[in-house]
Amino acid sequence: MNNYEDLSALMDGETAPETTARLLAAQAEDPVLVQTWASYHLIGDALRNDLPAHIDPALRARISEALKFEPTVLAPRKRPRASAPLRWVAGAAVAASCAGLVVFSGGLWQGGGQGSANPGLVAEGSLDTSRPSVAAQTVGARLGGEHGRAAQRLENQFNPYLVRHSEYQMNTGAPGMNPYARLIGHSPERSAQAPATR
Amino acid sequence: MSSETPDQELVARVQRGEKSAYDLLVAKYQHRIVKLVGRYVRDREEAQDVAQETFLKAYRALPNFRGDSQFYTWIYRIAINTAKNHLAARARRPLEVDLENEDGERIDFTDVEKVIDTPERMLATEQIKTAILEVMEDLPDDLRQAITLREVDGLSYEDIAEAMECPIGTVRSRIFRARDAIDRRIRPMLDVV
Repeated sequence: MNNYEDLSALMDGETAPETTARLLAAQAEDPVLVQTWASYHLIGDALRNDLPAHIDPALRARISEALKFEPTVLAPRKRPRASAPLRWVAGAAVAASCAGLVVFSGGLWQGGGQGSANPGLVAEGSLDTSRPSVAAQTVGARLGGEHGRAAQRLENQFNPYLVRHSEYQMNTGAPGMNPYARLIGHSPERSAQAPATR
Repeated sequence: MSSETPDQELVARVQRGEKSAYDLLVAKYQHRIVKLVGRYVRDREEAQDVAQETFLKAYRALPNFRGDSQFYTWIYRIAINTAKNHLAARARRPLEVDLENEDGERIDFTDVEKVIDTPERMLATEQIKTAILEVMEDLPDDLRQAITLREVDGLSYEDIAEAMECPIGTVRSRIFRARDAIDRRIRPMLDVV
């Protein structure tokens, strides 16, 4: 078989890889081979009625000339695809990382960074809502009299509400506040002064 | 047989820095691109220029061509965009000539299709097609049938071998001999320039 028969087979995608490589290497040095390739394709275009009304035989030469002034293009090499078992292991590793991230960040989110899985329970356990809190007792003692008792009453009503709210914190996904912050966030002095200003 | 199509192999080579491989892609698709561009750009000379620009743009963009589509599909889109951009740019350009008739009225060329003489280097496709058909008429039946099944019907060598009840090697040889016979006839016409 000659080069031209191989070239004919190449344009039909019917050559062995080594023949393809040999021909493509040869065409760089053999303008007649390229001209034959162009002619064979022109024949195919003509038979399929794919030719324009007029053809310019010099077009290819002009493009080739213009290409001389173009920088050589270089595409990044494609990385070979990993084998199937390796892809499975990589996928499992990614899935495990994601799961770990979700669990870890979920714990942080709901525990408010306290390392607690259930802040509601912690709050419930750390608070005896049936008795006045230390803060409320202190404020009540400091204010004394009717105002002090009013503040203590208000504090005792408010604390169970905060604890119950804390129980639902996990369900809603709300970050909530730290248990102790809920208690010291309330200002008994301001509450005690409020009736006086009205 | 090759696992990649010739286009994939050629594109891969260009992407590795082999400029000469691009010549084969140009040689393969030049006529189809000119015909496509010609649907948008009526002027033959301009259509050739736009086709040239298309191939240069495609060459510059080849590093980004990932092979998700066929090379022709990809360059087809580039050709249409280039043709449309060309038309838009031409619409923005003022007329280079401003002629008046004997009565001093300005002649409006905008609605008149530009008539340009076909340059000598341009070949009328009809001449080539006539020559090809003449050779086809003279070809032995088995050669004519083999090249028709390949070029017109797009059958693989295996399918042609089955249709013609002959070995694949014979199909390969018949197609080559048909092409070679036609090439010998039209080559002098193409080498004139």
